[in-house]
Amino acid sequence: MTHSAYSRAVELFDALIHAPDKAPHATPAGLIQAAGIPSSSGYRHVAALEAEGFLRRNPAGTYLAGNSAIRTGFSGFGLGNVAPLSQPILLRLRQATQHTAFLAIVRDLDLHMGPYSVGRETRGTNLQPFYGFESIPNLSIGRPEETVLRSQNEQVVRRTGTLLAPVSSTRESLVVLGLILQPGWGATDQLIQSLESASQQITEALEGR
Amino acid sequence: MSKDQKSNVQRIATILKGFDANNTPRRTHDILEDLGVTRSTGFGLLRAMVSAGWLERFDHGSLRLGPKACGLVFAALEVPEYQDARTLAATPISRSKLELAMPDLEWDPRLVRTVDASRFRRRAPYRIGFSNASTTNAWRRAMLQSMYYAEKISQAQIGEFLVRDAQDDPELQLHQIDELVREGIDLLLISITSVNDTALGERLNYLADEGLPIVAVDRRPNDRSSLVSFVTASDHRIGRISALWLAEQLKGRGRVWMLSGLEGASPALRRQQAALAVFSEFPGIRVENVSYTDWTEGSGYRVMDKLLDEARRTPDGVWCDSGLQGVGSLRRFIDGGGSIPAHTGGDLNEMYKLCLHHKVPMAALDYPASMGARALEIALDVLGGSTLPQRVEEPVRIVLPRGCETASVKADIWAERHVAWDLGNETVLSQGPALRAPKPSSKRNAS
Repeated sequence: MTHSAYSRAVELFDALIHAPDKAPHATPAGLIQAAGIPSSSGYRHVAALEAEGFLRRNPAGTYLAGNSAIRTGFSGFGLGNVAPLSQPILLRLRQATQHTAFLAIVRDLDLHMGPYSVGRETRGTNLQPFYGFESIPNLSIGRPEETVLRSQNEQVVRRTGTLLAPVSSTRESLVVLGLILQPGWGATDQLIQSLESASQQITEALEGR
Repeated sequence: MSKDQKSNVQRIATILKGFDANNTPRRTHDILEDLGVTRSTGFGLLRAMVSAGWLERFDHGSLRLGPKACGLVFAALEVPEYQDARTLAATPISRSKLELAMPDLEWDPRLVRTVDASRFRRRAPYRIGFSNASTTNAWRRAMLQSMYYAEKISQAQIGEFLVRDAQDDPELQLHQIDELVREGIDLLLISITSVNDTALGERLNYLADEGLPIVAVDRRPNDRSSLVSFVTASDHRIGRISALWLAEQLKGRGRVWMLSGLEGASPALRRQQAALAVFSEFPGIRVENVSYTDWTEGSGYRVMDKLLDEARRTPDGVWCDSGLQGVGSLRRFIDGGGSIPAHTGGDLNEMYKLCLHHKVPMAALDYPASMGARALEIALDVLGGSTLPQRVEEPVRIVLPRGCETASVKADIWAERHVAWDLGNETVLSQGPALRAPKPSSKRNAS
């Protein structure tokens, strides 16, 4: 097998794993087409990635990133122990607040957006994989802080209001739990309380080990 | 399927999964040995992965996850239904209403407690046994179908999947568990017939002490010390949200009849307790009676018939902890003519069909049958040696017809979108992608 065949396999993996990010696909055929790979081998690859947990399907059959993918992402930051906590915490927080809830990793003043659950109150805000901070934030464990994030897409810089609560820190990274705020609105007491309560759950769970 | 039959795409997934939570660098030699491929193939793949940023070189001969792998952390956990304006044109909640509506967060600390399963790690293919409590109702059959779906997806890892149906008989279940153990299973999945059966509990404790990993789904023994993990959904949430919706739908005043499921069954008890706690917060809501229906349509019909006969006037609302009996209640009202009061209870496709067709206000929270598939995934995680939650809750979505939202209870999905008009009445909609997957062959069905 030639070197290019291995590179091609990496490209196929990359394309399939990121296809659910771009649009919802409820069939393997849709996913294969979106990934731009040949259908002859595509079905086998989709099935293999679902079996390995890198892709999963929701109750409606739509493909999403699988638990293994999210776990690998956290492990890449040396924070794999956060992965099992993300789904229960974020879904509860989203259901309670109707705001988009997310986990993120702050490293070298860059915010790497992690898993998220979109709330109806902030559904208009499209999340980006990377953000910078508008000003250097004053973040400390367990204390929610209103923070404006900046993302740049081509030449357009967008500001996104968030409420962030750090839940854990390592030598290199800070893990934050956050809520997207409605444009033009600040954080209410209820949002702050909900975030405090949720962040406490994660902090205690991580410290308990 | 043996390892050398894997595609390179699958090998890439296997390599990425091989790194631990701390991203401890691994020696190339160890990675290749785990992968079980020739050196030329292994080195070719690793070089391509390093070149693309999935892996990075750490030290001479060592690799760790690279920046591209870190990027996998950015992931949507759900497909938000309401992003599509045609399917859920929900009225945005005003700020003042939102403040009032925001329910308390109910944290179950067990959801964030994890267990390190590295001591159970072994090489695939695995032999997994499932001791199922029964297949007596549509929900239980749907849960089993979802498990078969997951088995099909993971067939490369599962050498054999052995299923036994205990027909709600604890003694038979005990016998079947022993049988599965004799067949050399690597892991036992169990949905227990009786939470209080001492012999069953003791046998599970013994097997756990002997080193057999056990994962419970839907129903667990009272003593959970034998379990690595328990896969379920929040009965408390089902009871609480459905009662809150009914109380608000009735504007805090009215007569409510409650139809619970199986007397003594823990899900029925937890849902009922949660609902009663909510009703007690509304002084104008009067719970006139609480009945049990065994989660069957026939019993739901008979109970409602008897209640109507005795009361001679219809209630303002009927709280059902599931549509399994809810359809019986609805059928009784339809047969009697006249108006049909608001109902709660999902699960069955027929419940949605009837409520939508007869324009009955309803709220439903399906108890997810997809937990069967999730349980098998968790079983594979255990045998893969991962760190996983002690308790796994499948999300429970709130399903409401358009126009039926209340101040506190908002739809995750509209009933009009959730119902499957093309599928049968007995269909359980919460079984996930297994719903439209081909059914397994009969030889793999429960013995």
